[in-house]
Formats: sequence, C-alpha cells, structure tokens
Amino acid sequence: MNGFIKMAKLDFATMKSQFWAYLSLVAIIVLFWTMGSSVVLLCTSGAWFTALMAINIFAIQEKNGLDRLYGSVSVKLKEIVLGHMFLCF
Amino acid sequence: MIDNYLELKGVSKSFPGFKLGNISLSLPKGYIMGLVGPNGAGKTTTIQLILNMLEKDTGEILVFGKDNMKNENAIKQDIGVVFDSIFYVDSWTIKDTEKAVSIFYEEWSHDVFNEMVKRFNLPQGKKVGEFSRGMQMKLMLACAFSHNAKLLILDEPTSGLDPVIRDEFLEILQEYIKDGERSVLFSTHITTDLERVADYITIINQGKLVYTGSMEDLMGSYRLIKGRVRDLTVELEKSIIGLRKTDMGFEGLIDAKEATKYKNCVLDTATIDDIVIRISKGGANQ
Repeated sequence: MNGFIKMAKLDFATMKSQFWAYLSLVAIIVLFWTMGSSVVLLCTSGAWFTALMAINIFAIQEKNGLDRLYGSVSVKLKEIVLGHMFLCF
Repeated sequence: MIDNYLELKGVSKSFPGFKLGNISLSLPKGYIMGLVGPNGAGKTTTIQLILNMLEKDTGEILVFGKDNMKNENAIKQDIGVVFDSIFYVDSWTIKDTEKAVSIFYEEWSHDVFNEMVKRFNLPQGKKVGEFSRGMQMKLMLACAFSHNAKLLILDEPTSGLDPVIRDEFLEILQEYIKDGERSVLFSTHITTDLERVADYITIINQGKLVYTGSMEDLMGSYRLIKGRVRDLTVELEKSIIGLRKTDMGFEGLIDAKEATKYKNCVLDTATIDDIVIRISKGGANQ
C-alpha cells in the first residue's frame, strides 16, 4: 500500500474521536437548510467550519506526540504531508 | 550475513548550544546495548538520528548493514520503537491502536498482538489515555513485537515505572533476544537496569562518546578509589576522574591499570552508576 494512503488512513483513525462533532455540523447545516437558509450561505459556512475542524489533526498530533509515531513507521515526510492535506481538503 | 544490526560511524549533529559529536558504536546481532548518560547528554538525539527523525551532519548510520536514509522504509519494517511516553492517540482503544499501527507493517500478526495483549493484561475497552504508565509501555511493546521487529529501540522506557513493572519489563527484553536473532538498543539513566540485561554499553556525556564496548570491559576498566586527604598526591589527583574531596577523605574513579600504584588507598569495584556519575563530573580529567 502506498505510504500516502497509509497516512490518510492513520489520519482518519486519529480524527475518529471527532466524528460526532462532524455529524453535529451536518445536523446543524440540515437544520438551517430546512429553515430556508440560502444554499450558497450554508455551503460556504459548512465548508468553513469543516476546514476549521479538519485542522484539529495538528492539535491532536501535538497533544499526543504523534511526531514520534510518524518517525517510527515506514513513511516518508512527503507522504505524511500529503496525508494531512488529503484530510484537510 | 550481517553481524552488526546497528553501526554508527563518526555521527555528528549540531544544534544551537549543543553538539553531538563523532559518535561511533556497533550493536551485534543477538545482544542488548545500553545507551547511558546524564540528562541532555544526547541519547534521544542519537536515537532520533538512527530513526532518521533528525538529519545527521556527518557520519554514517547502518541499520541491518544498510544506510538508514537510503533504505528508511525497508529498515523501519524491522524496527520496533518504544519511547518514554506513549505516542498513540489518547482516545484510541487497543483495537483502534492495532488498526492504526498495523497498516504500516507487512509482517503484522494479529495473533501475536492478541497474545501480547492477553499476556500483559491490557484492558480491551479502556482508552489509551486512561492506561497507567506501565500499561502504556506494554502496549508499545506489544505493537513492537507484533510486527516481528529484529531491532528494538527503547528510549528511557523504564523511567517512571515502579520496580515490579521494571523487573517484568527487563524479563520481557531478555526473553525477546533469547533466539539470538534480535537486538535491543536501550537508552536509560537507570543504570541498575543495564547491569541486569545489557551485554554492551555506550556512555555519552555532553554530546561526546565516552565509552562504547562490552559491559565486562567497562567494569574492568575502572576502579573506585577512596582514601584520606593526606594520601592524595598531586599525581593521584590528576589521574582521578570525578574527584570528590571532603574533610573525611576523597573518593573518585581511577583507571584500573593505574590502581595498583596507590597502595594506601581503598580500591573498590565501580558500578555503572559510579562510572557515569564520575565521568559526568570529571570533565577535563577524563
């Protein structure tokens, strides 16, 4: 398996605890949509909040010392960065 | 056939205010090497250089006979790493940890992991962040053993562990190298652990290599010398490493070859602790 895919999988596992927060965000967007908010506004604010939540990966990485995990497994720095970017976007 | 699983040849790395200079060591297959030195000596930097987490300035690092930078991915398949604190996400359970870590290893064995988890009595439902330090250490070891690592690199794994867990941990290490096909590099400042398990030892102080070689040779190289202040001649004072003088007398470390010269003094076998402490204090006398 490609190192980038492995890293993306690891990042998804890292963000697993944030799953409910993402689901709440979707619920809020759906709620506003049913209340008649504009689709453009909902998409913009939804994308904004999703991006904000996605960068949580860096906070989790810092808090749990994941740099050492990345350093001990067989992935290249480039693949670590690509994995993070994939998750964020 | 590879004789040395790990070889460092003249490795250096500079940071502002600290330089790890000219480190050379060899760890043969089937043995445990202790990497000792006071805090800030450069032990963790050495480990990070081996793992290519830091880029060396000069020198050569060979793991399983291969360059650690050119063959990083292949080499890391056979290395197990345990740091002084856990590096898994604190919200993960054991199952999550296995799922996340196993994807990186071709030889990952689910059965071995389960066996280790059972053997170490690790709770399945609990989150990693709720584990005790001993449990966290065991989980890192379980992961290292589950991909059949040939070289185990441990960075101060026993610091903060109680004596019972430490004893158990050392037994696990001895069992791990029993087949003669695996090696362990064990960085610590609890030298009593090394006296029990290490075959080779490397002492680093202030970024410089003080000693690397077999444990027996090290223990035979130095003697602890004690005596009255009046017996302390200028010549003796110069040859003592880490001299400590009090009103009652003096104490220090001396080269075993020179020990016989001083008949009025008491000579004793030096422990690794004595050697590390005296060398750290000794400075220019080294």
